[in-house]
Amino acid sequence: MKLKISFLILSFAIITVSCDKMLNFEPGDEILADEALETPDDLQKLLNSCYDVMANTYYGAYQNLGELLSANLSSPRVNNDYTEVYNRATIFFNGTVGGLYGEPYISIFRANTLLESFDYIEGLNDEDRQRIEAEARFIRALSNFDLVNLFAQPYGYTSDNSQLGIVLRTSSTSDILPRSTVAEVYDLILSDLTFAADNLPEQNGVYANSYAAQAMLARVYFQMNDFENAAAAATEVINGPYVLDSLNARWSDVISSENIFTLVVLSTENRSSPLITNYRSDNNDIPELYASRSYVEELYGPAIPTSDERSEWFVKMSPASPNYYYNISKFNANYFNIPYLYLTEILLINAESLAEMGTDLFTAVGDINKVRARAGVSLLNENADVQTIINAARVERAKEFIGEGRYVFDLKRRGALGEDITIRNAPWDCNGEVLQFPISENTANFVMNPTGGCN
Amino acid sequence: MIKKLTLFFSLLFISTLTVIGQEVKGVVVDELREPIPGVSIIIEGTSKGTVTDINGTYSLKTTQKEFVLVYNFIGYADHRENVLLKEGEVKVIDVTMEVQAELLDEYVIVGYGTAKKRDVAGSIASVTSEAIMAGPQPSFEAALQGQASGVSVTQGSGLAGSGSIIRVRGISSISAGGDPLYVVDGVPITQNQFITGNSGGMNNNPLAAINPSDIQSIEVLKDASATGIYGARGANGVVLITTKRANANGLSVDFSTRFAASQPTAKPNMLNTQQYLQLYQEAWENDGHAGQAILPGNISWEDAQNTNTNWVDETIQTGFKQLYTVGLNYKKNKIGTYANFTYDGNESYLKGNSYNRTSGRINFDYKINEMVSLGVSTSISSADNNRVDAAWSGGLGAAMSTALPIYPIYWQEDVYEVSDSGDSTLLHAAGDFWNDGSNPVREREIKTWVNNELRSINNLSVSVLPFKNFSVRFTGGYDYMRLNEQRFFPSDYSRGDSRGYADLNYHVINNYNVSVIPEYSWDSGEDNHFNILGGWEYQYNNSNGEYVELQDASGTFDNNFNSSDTNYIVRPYVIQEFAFMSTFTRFNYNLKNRYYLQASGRIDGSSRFGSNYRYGFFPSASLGYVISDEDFWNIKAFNYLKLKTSWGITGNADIPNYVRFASYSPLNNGNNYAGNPTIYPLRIENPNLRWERTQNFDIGAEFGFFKNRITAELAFYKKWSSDVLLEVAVPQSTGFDTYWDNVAKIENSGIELNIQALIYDLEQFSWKLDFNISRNNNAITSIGLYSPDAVSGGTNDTRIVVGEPVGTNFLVRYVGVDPENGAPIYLDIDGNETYEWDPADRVPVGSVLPTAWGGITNTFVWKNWSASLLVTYSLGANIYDSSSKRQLGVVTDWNMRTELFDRWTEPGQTDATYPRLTMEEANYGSSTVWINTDLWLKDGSYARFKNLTIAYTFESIGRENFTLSNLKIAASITNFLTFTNFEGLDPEIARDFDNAADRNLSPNITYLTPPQERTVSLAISFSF
Repeated sequence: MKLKISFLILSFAIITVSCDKMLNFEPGDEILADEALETPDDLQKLLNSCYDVMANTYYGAYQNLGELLSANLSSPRVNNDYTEVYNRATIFFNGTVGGLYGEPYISIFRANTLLESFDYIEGLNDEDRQRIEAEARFIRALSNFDLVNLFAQPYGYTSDNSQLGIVLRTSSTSDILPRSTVAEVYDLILSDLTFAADNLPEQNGVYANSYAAQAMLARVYFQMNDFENAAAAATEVINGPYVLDSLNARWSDVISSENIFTLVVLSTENRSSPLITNYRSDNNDIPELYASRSYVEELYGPAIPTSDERSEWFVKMSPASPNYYYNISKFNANYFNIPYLYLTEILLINAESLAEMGTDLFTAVGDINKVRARAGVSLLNENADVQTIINAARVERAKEFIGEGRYVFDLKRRGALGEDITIRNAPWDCNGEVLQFPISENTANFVMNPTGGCN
Repeated sequence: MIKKLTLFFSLLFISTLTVIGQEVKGVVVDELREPIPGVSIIIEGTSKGTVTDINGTYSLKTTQKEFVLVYNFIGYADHRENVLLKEGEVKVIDVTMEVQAELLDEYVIVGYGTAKKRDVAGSIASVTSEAIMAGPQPSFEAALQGQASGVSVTQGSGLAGSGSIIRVRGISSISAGGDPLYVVDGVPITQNQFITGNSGGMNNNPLAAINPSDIQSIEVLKDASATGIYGARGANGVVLITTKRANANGLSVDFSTRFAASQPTAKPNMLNTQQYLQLYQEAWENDGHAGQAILPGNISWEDAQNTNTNWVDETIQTGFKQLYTVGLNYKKNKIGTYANFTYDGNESYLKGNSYNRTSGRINFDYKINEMVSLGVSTSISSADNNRVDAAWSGGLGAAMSTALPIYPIYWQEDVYEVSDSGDSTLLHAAGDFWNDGSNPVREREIKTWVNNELRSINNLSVSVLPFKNFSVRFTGGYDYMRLNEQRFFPSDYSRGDSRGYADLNYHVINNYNVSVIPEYSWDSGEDNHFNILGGWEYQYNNSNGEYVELQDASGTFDNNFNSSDTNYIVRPYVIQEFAFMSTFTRFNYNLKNRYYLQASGRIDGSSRFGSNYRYGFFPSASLGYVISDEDFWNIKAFNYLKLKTSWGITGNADIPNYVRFASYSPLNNGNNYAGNPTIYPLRIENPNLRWERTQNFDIGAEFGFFKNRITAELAFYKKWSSDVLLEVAVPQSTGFDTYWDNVAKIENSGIELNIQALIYDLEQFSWKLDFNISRNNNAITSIGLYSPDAVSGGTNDTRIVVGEPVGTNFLVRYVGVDPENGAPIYLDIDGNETYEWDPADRVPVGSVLPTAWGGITNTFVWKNWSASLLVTYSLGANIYDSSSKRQLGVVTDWNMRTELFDRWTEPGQTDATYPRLTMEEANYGSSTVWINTDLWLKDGSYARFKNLTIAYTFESIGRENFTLSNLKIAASITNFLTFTNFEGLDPEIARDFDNAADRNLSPNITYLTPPQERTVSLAISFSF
């Protein structure tokens, strides 16, 4: 009897382990990872999703943080997270900063997944493989560059760039990693972009093409104060098919003729834009973000609008009151395409780089004057000296890029070059000018950014 | 109808009786005046007799006139009654049985069976139906409080139907569910608290649908010897709920009703208008402004001064409760039936809030023949939870926060909008609800919100005894749960949208369980008793549902909406499935009824784990030794001593169903780029995800003194948990937010003591004391490479810190007010004073766990009167009063509490508790207004008079063929007196939670949480 019972129990045990099927349930609405990437079409869809992420990231979430670190804006009105950034005292609980920080890494993970998957896809031709690989590396480079700008001291902060940069991820594993140095970060960015520039087609629909990679290279080299390479890459782009458009065409629902890399936004999508929601002033007299008085008045004088068409981007509110302020109208729209890279920036990079090198000043002046002419501003003298050209290029950058979150990196670049730069009365390299990482990054091997020092 | 029923029952009753000679009848009760079913009553010297029914009543017809009746019941001394009857006399003899001191052969429910308490070496706490029904409770599990050592019960809030947090011997889980496993009549039931997430400041409590009056007993299995048989899911304890069954011959009907009134245990002391304006203006001036402060909502000072709304009074009421329950017992020969019908209308003290349950049950037993018997349990209950917003969501929570005393309830006069062209349109008519700011009355009155919960728990079991001492039990269980939550917001709800809006949140959960359990007992010689039980069990659970919205609605819609109508936006929930498959065995050896050995093993497989670690093996072993049965034991006063010890491994798998899979979004994910479709990864794979494992060790003793007039049980335990499941916040640089992994280690240890003493046991008076005290130490011993913030208890700043208990408060330390400038001073991480509040300076502070907690019950019986008082206590734990940071901190758009008058006002002031009033967080050294510091960590020690019940039981009223027995009138009050230093509302509190981790980490947090209710009730019950 006892034996029989033991036998019975043993057979139960066998049933339990052999009826494994009765324990197999797969998530009903999801595709299992093993089955997700099988065809070239699947790869394209995954690649599309990177662009989808970028269209969210660069619809203002990224730009607003850089802009808040500059002197271009007044203190935010209500938003606590923005106020922390503006005060250059971000804490690791800042949800807006944390949310933005994660976004480029989502793109990076997907790009790495693409880069690892080619061998498993049936029917993938060499041309598509090369294009997808180049696009993935372009996206990875762009993501790393924008992250390292916000979360680390700039290139040139130390002579060997051994200051801590960001976590570099080159495979789709989720290991807990420490930060790489800024030098290592730039090495990867340059190798990715060089590959992309060499392998992307010249035309690639709504996706990144070889000019986008060249333009990105120009931006990166310029940030490194590597003027020779910056000018070389810029020249490649300038010689390409792009021409300046009317002033506001970049911020519209059509892709402007000067756009080199556009993130497309359709009217049917519900993408929320921190640019529109925080700046828009045609339906709101007191938007969250608005220009600082010093920004408007130093660039355009006390009375706007001036003959400079760009002064029309500002509306003086309560002009008679001592509490007057300047709203920004640049982003007054229901939606628009995002001009991530466009010719104006490349012309100004080229001009300033040439001037810094002291070569081909004629071209430099010409590039600046293309931008000035469009805005209705008097042209620069053809015989302007190097410093005049450099200053002129910088003024144009300050004017053109308002709200786009990049001007603060110019200031840091110049600081790294040795200029005496202060941003709102604090040194350009004070701790708080670099954003704090979100708390989730704070693992045993990770060094958080130092805080304070800007006030 | 009632007459007919009575007649019917009477006929049934008559048919069971013979109709000649004399008759003796009455009721047999125990020392607590509770009826005892199954007492055998024999005419001495004959074999003629009867047994008492479920209500303890009996009736015996006889032709004899002079005889002795012997009343016999196990565990009680025989009672003898001399009887002298006249011809045809019907005599009522009620009997009170006395406990027989030597034997305490109580039976307890154990996993997959029952056992004599004496034979059990495990640690099991039993709670009787009397304790469960002692007073009105939002849900039955609240009644476990103070009843069992090692079991901590925290009633969440005063919301109708709200649940309790139950922790058995501490907590050994972090992200996986930390609640014990609930098993009703052998069916592990759906117990997910987060089916509807956190809505309106409340988690739906799936236990509230269970009718407490159906419950015969609740057993809480604590140690590995007891829980081991539930292997995989026993790590946080097991709660076995056994419903009533017919257990004595005859037919009887019980009826009881209870009426109660409910009020909050405490009312918040919010500022009135005059106080509010004073403090608000003070903050305004302190911040360097001149003139009158700009008031929130652009209210003018004149309007403000003319308004003084007491929003607390506007959101609370005296709630009324009514309970009616009818139970029927019938047992004859092979058939036994227990049936119950109950209506429980349970209004809370929050205006508009009630939980009204209608439920029915039939438990049917049929012994088909000597070999086969059948048992069926079926219950259905339908509960309407009339919801109101609470806590952070509104209602009383708004009265404690955003609803300012300067805000009116109604517009005082007509308000017009004048356009540029001079036309004026009426915006608000006088008497309309004011809607320029927080108005919880408006919110409550115009919104409709009902959650109907339909639940049916069913069980069928067939026992087959093919030969002696061998049985096989086949069981099938089905637990159905449906939530149907409907809301309606009329057109004037929102100023932005003039259309009405309705939605429906619909969930169905089907939970199936089948098992086969063979059992064999044998003896070898006189002294060796063996029992072996085996089993195979399979549980399958699926859930689905949908969320439906309707714009332009004119009322709530039922779930039979017209799906072809495109105005309805239907979003089906994706089906969720999980299953467990298990094989188990338990072996018991009993030598001389003195030495006990038990060993068990269980193999569990879970669909939630991948093939690498799908199956877990969970063994346990225990030893018991009744040393007082040894010949050498001759201490008369110390009559019983059992030593026991156990060891075992239990597990936990209460995690989301599919987190082990790496997966991609579906194709129709709604995210496109430039019109082109996308797919994208959702999760990273964890093929090594596996069972959380807890190793348990327990050593204990049971004592009996003075013929068991005093009994006690003492236990020590230690639990080592490893592979504890964490949903870690992974570095975002991975491209993901969270990841499920087996990361942490936790240790629990503790000591528990129960004492029961019959202090007086006189003819007319008895006094019984039940006392229990427990202590648990809990510490995380590892969290891998992660930081304390890797798993967080929401916004509560409770964290996982090595060396500290699960969910320790992790806060910046507050020193006090700088006497010179009134600024708050904090400590930095190194202990230096600073004006800056920086979360990098957070440290573990305070005490999450009480030094000791427990309950004391005193029960007095005097003649027909009885009185029972339950006192519960918890000493040495802190409560984090999270809402204080806005009620007593930086002045914001919240109302404040009167304690804030104790603020700094002038240089040199050293006795202020709170800093100089300000509206600017910068003055608090912070860039955020939400400043968590240990200033809000308060002493939460309390002792509470939980329940006092005074009852009178009438003698049975016997007439020909009819006995009205157990007529009892009881008055009780709950939560009527609390001794505490806690400054907030209620020291016994648990807020609403976002997920299981939050629930595990933050049970000592209050955030605008409605306090518990205080009730006064009157109950009447009787049987016939």
